[in-house]
Amino acid sequence: MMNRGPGAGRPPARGFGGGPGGIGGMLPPQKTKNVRRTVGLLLARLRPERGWITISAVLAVGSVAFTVIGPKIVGNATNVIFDGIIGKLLPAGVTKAQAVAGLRARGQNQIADLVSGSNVLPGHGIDFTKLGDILALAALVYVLSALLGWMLAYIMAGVAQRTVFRMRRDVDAKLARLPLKYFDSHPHGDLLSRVTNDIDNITTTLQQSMSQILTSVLTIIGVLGIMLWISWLLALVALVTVPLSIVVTLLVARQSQKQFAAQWARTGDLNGHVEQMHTGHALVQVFGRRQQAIDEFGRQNQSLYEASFRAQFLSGIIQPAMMFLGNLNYVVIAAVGGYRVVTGAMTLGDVQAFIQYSRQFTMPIMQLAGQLNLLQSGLASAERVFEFLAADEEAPDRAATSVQPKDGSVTLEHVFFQYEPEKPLITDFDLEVKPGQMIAIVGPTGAGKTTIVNLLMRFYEIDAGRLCLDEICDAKTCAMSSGWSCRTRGSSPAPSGITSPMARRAPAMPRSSKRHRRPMSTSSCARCPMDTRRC
Amino acid sequence: MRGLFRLLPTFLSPYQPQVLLVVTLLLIQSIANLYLPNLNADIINNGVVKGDIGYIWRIGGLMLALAAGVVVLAVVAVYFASRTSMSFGRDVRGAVFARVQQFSAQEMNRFGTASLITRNTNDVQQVQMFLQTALTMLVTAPIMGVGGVILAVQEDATLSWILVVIVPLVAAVIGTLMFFAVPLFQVMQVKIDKINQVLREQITGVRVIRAFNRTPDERERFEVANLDLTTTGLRVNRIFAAGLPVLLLIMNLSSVAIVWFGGHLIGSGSMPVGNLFAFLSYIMQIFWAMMLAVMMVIFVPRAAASASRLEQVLATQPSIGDPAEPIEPITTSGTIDFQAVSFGYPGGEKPVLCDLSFDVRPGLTTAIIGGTGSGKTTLLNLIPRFFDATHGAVLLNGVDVRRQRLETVWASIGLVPQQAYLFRGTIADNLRFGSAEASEADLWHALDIAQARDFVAALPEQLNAPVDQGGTNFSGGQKQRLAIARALVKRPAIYLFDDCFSALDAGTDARLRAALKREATGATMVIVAQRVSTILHADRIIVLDEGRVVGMGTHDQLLKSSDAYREIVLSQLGEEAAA
Repeated sequence: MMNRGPGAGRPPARGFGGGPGGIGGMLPPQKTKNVRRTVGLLLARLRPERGWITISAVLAVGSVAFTVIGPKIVGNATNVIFDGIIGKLLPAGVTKAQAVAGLRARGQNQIADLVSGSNVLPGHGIDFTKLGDILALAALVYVLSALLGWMLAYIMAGVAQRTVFRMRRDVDAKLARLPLKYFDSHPHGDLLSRVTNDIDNITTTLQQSMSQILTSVLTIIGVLGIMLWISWLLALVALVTVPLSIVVTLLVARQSQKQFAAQWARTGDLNGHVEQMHTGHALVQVFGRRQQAIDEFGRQNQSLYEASFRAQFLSGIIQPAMMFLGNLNYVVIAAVGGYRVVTGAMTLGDVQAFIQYSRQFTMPIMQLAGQLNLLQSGLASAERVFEFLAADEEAPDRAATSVQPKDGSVTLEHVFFQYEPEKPLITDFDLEVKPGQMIAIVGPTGAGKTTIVNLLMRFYEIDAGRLCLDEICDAKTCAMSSGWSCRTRGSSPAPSGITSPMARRAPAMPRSSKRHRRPMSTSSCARCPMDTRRC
Repeated sequence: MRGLFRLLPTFLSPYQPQVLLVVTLLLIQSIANLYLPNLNADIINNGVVKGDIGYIWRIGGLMLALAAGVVVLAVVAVYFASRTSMSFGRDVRGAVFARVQQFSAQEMNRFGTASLITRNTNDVQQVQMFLQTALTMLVTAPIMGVGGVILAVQEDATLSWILVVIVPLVAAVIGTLMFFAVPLFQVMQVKIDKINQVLREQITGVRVIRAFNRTPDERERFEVANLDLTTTGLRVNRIFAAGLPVLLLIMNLSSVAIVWFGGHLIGSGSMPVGNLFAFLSYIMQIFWAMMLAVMMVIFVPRAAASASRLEQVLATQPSIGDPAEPIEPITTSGTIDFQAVSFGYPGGEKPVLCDLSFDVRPGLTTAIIGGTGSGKTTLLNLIPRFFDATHGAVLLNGVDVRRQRLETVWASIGLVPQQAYLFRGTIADNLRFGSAEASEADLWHALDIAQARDFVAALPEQLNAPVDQGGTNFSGGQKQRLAIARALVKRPAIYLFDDCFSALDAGTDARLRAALKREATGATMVIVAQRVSTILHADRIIVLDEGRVVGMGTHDQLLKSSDAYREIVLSQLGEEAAA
């Protein structure tokens, strides 16, 4: 796992949120192992915000409701105009029924149908007062919708930010409570990724996906409802495109997934090469391998180019395909709607509203696909963070006695310790150090020298025996306050001048088989200058 | 933002025809999409109003054909957009990599290896993806806007004034949004980096933090950063919260306005009723395109930041390069001369090396010893020109290293650095690093001398045993021996051993040096060490203290003449050895 290093394989940008279709594949596919549990935990984290979330839900319903009514009202306004035009063409003084009859008598059946379907007042032109009233209502509805939409986004921003704030704080608190064993046995890169990248991802999900998925779903339901109410026939036409778009998206997605997998694999390879050539820069130069490095890079770069081009192209096709289906929708509605107006089955305003609705219908569907992708990725990240938060913690200190360090005597009695089961390291170890003594611990590699220090610092807990500092056994405060010198080469006492405490990042762990050693952060090993232990 | 504006044109210039093609296709596509409402207007004006059903179906068919044509155009546009942006990414990656290969140690130190890796991988990816979306989406928005206005004016000049007013208004709103939001996003990125840094330090430095009881301080530090980030995040997202509703409102109110004014025009007979529908459709299409563009705007700051980081690398000239007229040295026997060499890091307070003068001859082992910080590794680094001396000259084979081609200098040198680094592959690959034509017998021979034959032979695949990146699947001592073997395979005239025997225990160390001496009789060996036992028998020992030569001679000579040396021997080997 650590072969790839920090730069490789880890996608940089967090999802191109909300954009229709084809920018998929920015993230490598992330699957959640236990969706229900993760969702449950996430919802639990949102509980403190449930008041705001309820308000948001209400606002969302309100905003969507207003957005959905709007086109119908404008459609009614359009009808007023159309009625006015038809009215002008008809003789004044007759009722609509009489006008229709008159038209039929003259053999103009088509126009007769048209007139009978409308709300015309023969002889009258456009009723501008009525038009004004309707349009004023429409304007009001739209303003309310925008207001509610803004309030919704405003509140959700607060909800998301506060939730993530608390999550980050919990993560940091957790870091302070985890035993050293956790840090040593988990690759630092992975750990860092969980507390940074994954939390960033969750932020994006909470920020965007939640409210947008809600509004998208509500919009789809609302628009569908009103479409069915206006004309179930045209609504069915609009609906036909939904399964079509799903089928198209799935087909394309399957093809492009393969290409994206290839892209990620080659990205990993290339990044590995870059990492090596940059880290071993001096070696590459002195051993005269610059040109080979560049050539090898060129080969891998080219192959990455080919894979990523195919992936981008395939996933990029989704958007034009969606656009085509949207246009198809438009064409059919325009034609069929026009036909039904002519036959008097629908008003023109309703057709116009329908056109707008079909566009209002397809947009959220396209967005939903992208949002669901983001949501999936966000859930996967949430799962990783929750896994981290559920890790076993250090045993709490029994007695919180804060003791001042006295003279500094150290005693170990019958101490037993091992890092891994079946691999005993320290067995029945006794040591008594009087105050003021300087003790040297020497031994071959893997004897357990640094382990003794780890035990004294309580970075690891002894498995059996007694460990006493200043006559106080297992007193945590004392153990934490002892200074701590880095060991020098060959485990001999340091030449004068070298007694600076340094971060020993690689623990002294017994070497298991080469293949199954515990993974460790490559960078931390490379940086520790005095570590003679195998990294 | 400047980075983007420099990077994009430079690397896009070979692809100008493709970019032009994409823009043209998108233009045609947008106009075609905008023409559909025209045809719809036609249906209404001439089909519905006149009751001509046949006309409705005919024009409907025309619309269908147009939609099909649009999709073909769109797919072709996506093809070329993908080609262009991926080619761009490939070219930038290659350019950055090649540039880094030219870097000297100074530039590597300035940027840091980790940063260079990120720039070469993640940053390129960011800009590449941005270009891809720009070519497919960002470009469409202004085209739709302009195209919409043109078609509207053509349809009906009187009503089109609404569009002429609305479109620039929307552009202004978007512009204002960007003006406020984009810098805030940049600030947010900085705060995210800050928090990530705090967390990284808490993870990698956990031992130090706990050992020195600094956990509460670290928690405090994090709390401050967390609060900071959240406050900024709230502000940014609340500004953006206003954006979308405002744009939607403008779109909807324009529809209302169009119906109102259009109604009057229709009533007075100056406009056929179908055109009203066309206008409403224009509005919708234009706004949806602009909405998409707004959503993509969020990614501009990240891409801009990445682009400027890439620009930094590409604009950096390596400080050490081949001279204009290189001189080839006459002999390659491996002589090194330091002539009054001084060296200080740029911006450093005092020089690291001061007035060093000595020579190193082939066939002899020269050791350099001194305490930490005395300048030993720096001295060594001057020989392969990882750094250039600030005063004086370093001569290799009688010629100043600055007057030779770098490749010539390096050809004479076999370097074993302090930290052994192996490359992913097989042991054989690593050993052949400096000499691709070495035979297996050569490799085994080198392993023999490096005291590594035993453990390599014990591996199931032996020479073909896999090596992980960095050599992490081997112990420190094993890595070191493989690194030594790698230098041996190259058979250079000069060996530079930078304190690399310390990973070995005393026995292996002694055996290795003895084998080395036997093997590389004619070669020059420079050993930097901290352990006196390693260099006891060197032909000449140079003692460094704070960058100055304080003693030169054999072990016995120095015991008598140099206090500093005697002190070192005393502290390491005890009274008897110093006597």
